[in-house]
Parts: sequence; structure tokens; C-alpha cells
Amino acid sequence: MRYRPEPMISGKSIRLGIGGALISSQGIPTTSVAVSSAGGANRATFIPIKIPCAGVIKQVWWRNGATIAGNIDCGVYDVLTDGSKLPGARLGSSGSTPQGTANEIQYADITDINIKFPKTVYVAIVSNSNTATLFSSFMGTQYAKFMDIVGQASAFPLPSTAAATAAALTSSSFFTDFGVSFRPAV
Amino acid sequence: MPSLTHYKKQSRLIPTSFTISAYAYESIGAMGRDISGTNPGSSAFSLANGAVGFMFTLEQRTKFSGLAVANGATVSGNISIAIYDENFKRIVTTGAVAQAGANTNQVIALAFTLNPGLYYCVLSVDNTTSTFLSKAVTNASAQSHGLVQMSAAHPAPATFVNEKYTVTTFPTFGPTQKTAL
Repeated sequence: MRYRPEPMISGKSIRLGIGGALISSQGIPTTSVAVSSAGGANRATFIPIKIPCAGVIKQVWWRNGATIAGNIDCGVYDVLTDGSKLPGARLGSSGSTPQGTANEIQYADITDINIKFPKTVYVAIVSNSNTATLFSSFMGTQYAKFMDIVGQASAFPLPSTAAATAAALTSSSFFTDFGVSFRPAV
Repeated sequence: MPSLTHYKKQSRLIPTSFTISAYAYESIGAMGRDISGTNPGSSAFSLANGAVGFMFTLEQRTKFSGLAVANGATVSGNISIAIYDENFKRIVTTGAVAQAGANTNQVIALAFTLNPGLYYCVLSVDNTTSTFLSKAVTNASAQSHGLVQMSAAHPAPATFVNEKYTVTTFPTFGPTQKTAL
């Protein structure tokens, strides 16, 4: 039998993201939060997700909140091999994309990312508008850092090489409803 | 005969979390909600010279770079973090280390590698002034999720003797593959 990855993986996945920590602290935690309350415009959030087997990432996606504004960039980053386990090279991204429809999942095609073996990657998202809203979670900045979430200021559009750190994660609310898709959206 | 590459592509081992706390996939995970459905806050450790711990499992061999703890608003005295095997025999320990950095995640560098299996991670503290980012727990829930306690265990001893869990909080700590959190 040829195993296949879950068709969609988000930052809040229980098995493959940080969902266990989210639920243990907040239950079903996501709400529509303004970018200004989640680190501010141009500050990217990076969440590690585990890809359990080989597969091809075809899209990235995010869940828009009630207010639409500005542009979003959502991408996938490899992990540095220097032992820091921080995000390194960008594997693919949507590029600057106008935020679409309120309260809906928005997909963006990216150049296929061929994941050859089980591995951890980071998914990243950033908005250039403080008034834009995205579905987000709250669990405290220090606790989020312990769950391996990192941030980066002045990161719009997403850079080709990340310079994210735990220290640059500054807010207690942060985006969690975004991720990758292994199949085209329907 | 299929190649090694073939088998690697077929494998479905979930990579190990970079940092394993009690609420990671490798441990209690989402069922931490059953222990306490609130965000962790800064709480004093109430068991001087005692230790608490959680179990976790590894599906694959993993190289760690340190043992980490989320300090609360007040730091004091010494802490010790250790990893035990499923028979409560100590594998690695930080030894007694000064708690440092209020409201920060303290990573104590310690390189070690664990094979697939069941382990316990234990935090011991030599005083009751130290605070940690902790969740309130009820004793029955703590016991049902395998949390462990030892009342005379600082620094973390060579053999952990598990006792009934009576502490009302559980700190955030665990092994990490990172050098900073």
C-alpha cells in the first residue's frame, strides 16, 4: 500500500502541528483577530508542521476573518541544518496576494514542493495590513515559544531566507489557521 | 528487492516535535485539556526538593540539544531536569543548575540521543519560591495521564521512585532539539 499524506495540514493540526498544545490550553481556540493584535503588519508567524510521508505540496491556504484588507503572503520553509531548528530557505510561497473573501478559506497555488521523505517544515504567513483579520489563537507568548512557534518582523513579502526567532514572536494571539494542501482546492 | 529509498518513501513515521512538553503529540497532547482547560500561568513549585514528570514516546531515534523549562515571574534556587527510561532509571540529567531568567524559557544545553521507546522527563526543584509557567491540575486527572511525582528528588536521582501525584500544578518543561526557545 502506498501511504499518502493528509490532503491538508494546518498549523493547528493535533498530530502534525501544535494542535495538542492549543486544545490543552484553550479548547477549540480560533477566532477572527485583527493583524494589529497578532504581532502587527509585516510580522510573519512561523509554525512547524510534520509531513509524515512523501508527497507534493501544491497549494498554501489561510482562513480569512471578518474584515478583509491588504495583502497576504503564505509560504513553506525548510529547517536550518545548523542545529537551531529554525526556519531557513523558502521552499515556496504564494507571494503578495490580495486577501479574498471574508470568513472563507483562501487558497493560493504555489510551485510544487516535492517532499521526498518524512520531515518537519515551517508554514509561514504575513499580512501587510493591520486592519486585516485572520483566524487566530491565543495561548500566551512564552507558551507559544515553547511550542516552537517563531516570528520575524519586516517580513512582507516572505523573504527567500528566513531570519525568524523565538524572541521575535511578540504577541499572545497569533495566526494558526493556515497551512499546506497536497491536492488542488475544490 | 525494493531500495532503501523506496522504504523511506513508504514510511509514515511522524517526525519528532522539536520540543516535547507534556502537551506535545508525543505525550498527553490535547488531553492536557482534561488536566486543566486554562492557559498556563506563573505558579510556585510547591514540593521543595521534590520532582514531577511526564511520560513521552518516541517513534524514531532523535537527537536532542538540551532540556528546557518555562520559568515564571520569580526565579530562585536550583533546578534539575532529567530523562528516565521506562523503568525509571536515569539516562541523562542537567544536574543542579541555577534557575535563570524570569518569564523566559530556559534551555540547558545537553546533547543526547534517544532511541524509539517510552521515557519520562522529570523536573526537580530545591525550593518553593521558584515559579514556572504551569497548569493547575487535579490529582486524579494527573494520575490518569501518567504524571509522576517524587518527594525527595533533588537533584534528579539515579532511580526515580514514583509516588501518588499530590501537587496541584504542573510546570511546562521538556527535551528540545533547539538551542533557544
